[in-house]
Amino acid sequence: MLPAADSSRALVSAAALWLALAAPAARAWLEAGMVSHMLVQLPLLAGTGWCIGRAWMGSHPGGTGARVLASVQSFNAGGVTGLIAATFVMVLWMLPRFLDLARLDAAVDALKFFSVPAAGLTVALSWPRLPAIARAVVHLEVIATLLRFGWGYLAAEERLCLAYLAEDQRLTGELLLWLGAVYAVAVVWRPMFGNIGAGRPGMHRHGS
Amino acid sequence: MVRRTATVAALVFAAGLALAHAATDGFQAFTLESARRLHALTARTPLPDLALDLADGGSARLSDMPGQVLLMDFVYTNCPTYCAALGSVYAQLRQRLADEIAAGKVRLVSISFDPARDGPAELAAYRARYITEPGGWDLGRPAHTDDLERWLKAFGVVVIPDGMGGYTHNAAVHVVGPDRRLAAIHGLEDIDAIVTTARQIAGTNAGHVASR
Repeated sequence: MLPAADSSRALVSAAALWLALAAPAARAWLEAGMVSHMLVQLPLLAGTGWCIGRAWMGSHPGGTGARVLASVQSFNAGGVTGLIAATFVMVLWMLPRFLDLARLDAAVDALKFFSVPAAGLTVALSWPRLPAIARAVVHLEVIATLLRFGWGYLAAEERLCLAYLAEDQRLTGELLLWLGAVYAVAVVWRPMFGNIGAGRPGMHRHGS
Repeated sequence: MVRRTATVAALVFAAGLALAHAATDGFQAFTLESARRLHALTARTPLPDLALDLADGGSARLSDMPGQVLLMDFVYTNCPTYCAALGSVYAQLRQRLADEIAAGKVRLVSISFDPARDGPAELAAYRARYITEPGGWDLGRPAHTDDLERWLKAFGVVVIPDGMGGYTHNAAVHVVGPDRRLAAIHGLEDIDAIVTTARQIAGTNAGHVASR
């Protein structure tokens, strides 16, 4: 649980970031390219929701925030409900049709600006409750999704998005594949290689 | 709490699937282009009746144009790729549908989305690259530059700069019926489908099953 001051600070920062992203100039700039739209704007939006979720979880016990949180979490045992909801939202916004619609239609973009942070918030609420095995499953699904989408965009013979060029699409596909690989490495690093370089009790580390 | 979660989680999963199903036209259309072509078959979108400056001189609206069925596309004459393909597709369509065109049942119409650079002379030159004798294929540009957006929006054509001074767009052949509403959209490579649809709407398909 974060102390109250940190909580409200996180909340304000998240809201500020969201407003900055929602500004017409920022929206136009980030949505101008497929890479910045999918791999910068979407994660940042999800991140604002995640921060708000964390701040919410750190709210003063006994206060209204904590009570609403408790009732919401009562149907989120093991974080399952939240993860299901968040997955649908994130996968849909990565499809070519909705990247296009968000770029071409302001109403759809507004929907994105609320649903993606909501997904981030939901993940923040659900992740701590996931048992280790479920977390492993989620990691596998994320890697699989990144690789599926990456391959789909890279190998497609035609332009899938009307608002983006073929070269943009190819680059996005490649980056998604890299992201999937990096994510996979990050996930297995600790379990496989442990804490290399951590001092053992009774020994001094050299050159630190 | 677990039972309540199980119920709600199942509901959320079902809702998610229903949403995904609705949002992709039954898991058929993951791209905007396939959605556009699917919707064209049922939406019967009315098209703008705005003035076009014709390559052969004068101006006309869609309602002025002869021909029950119009096969329309959007081009710009400096295009090195799609529009060249569209040009040769139109030359082939003109050949395959020669009877229908002669009878006034079908007409080909190309509209330039680069009215600043494509005047009547440029459009006529573009057409001359693909056919030698005139007739059956009208080319034009929106008479007023402000009208261009309305044309593109009504047909669902999205034009973006290609980073090399030209444009990229979702090239396709749009089949327009006698009511001047959009009836179907076909890809360039699908000449057989375009011919079949045109004949179907023009009402000449009955009894001419084998006459390709």
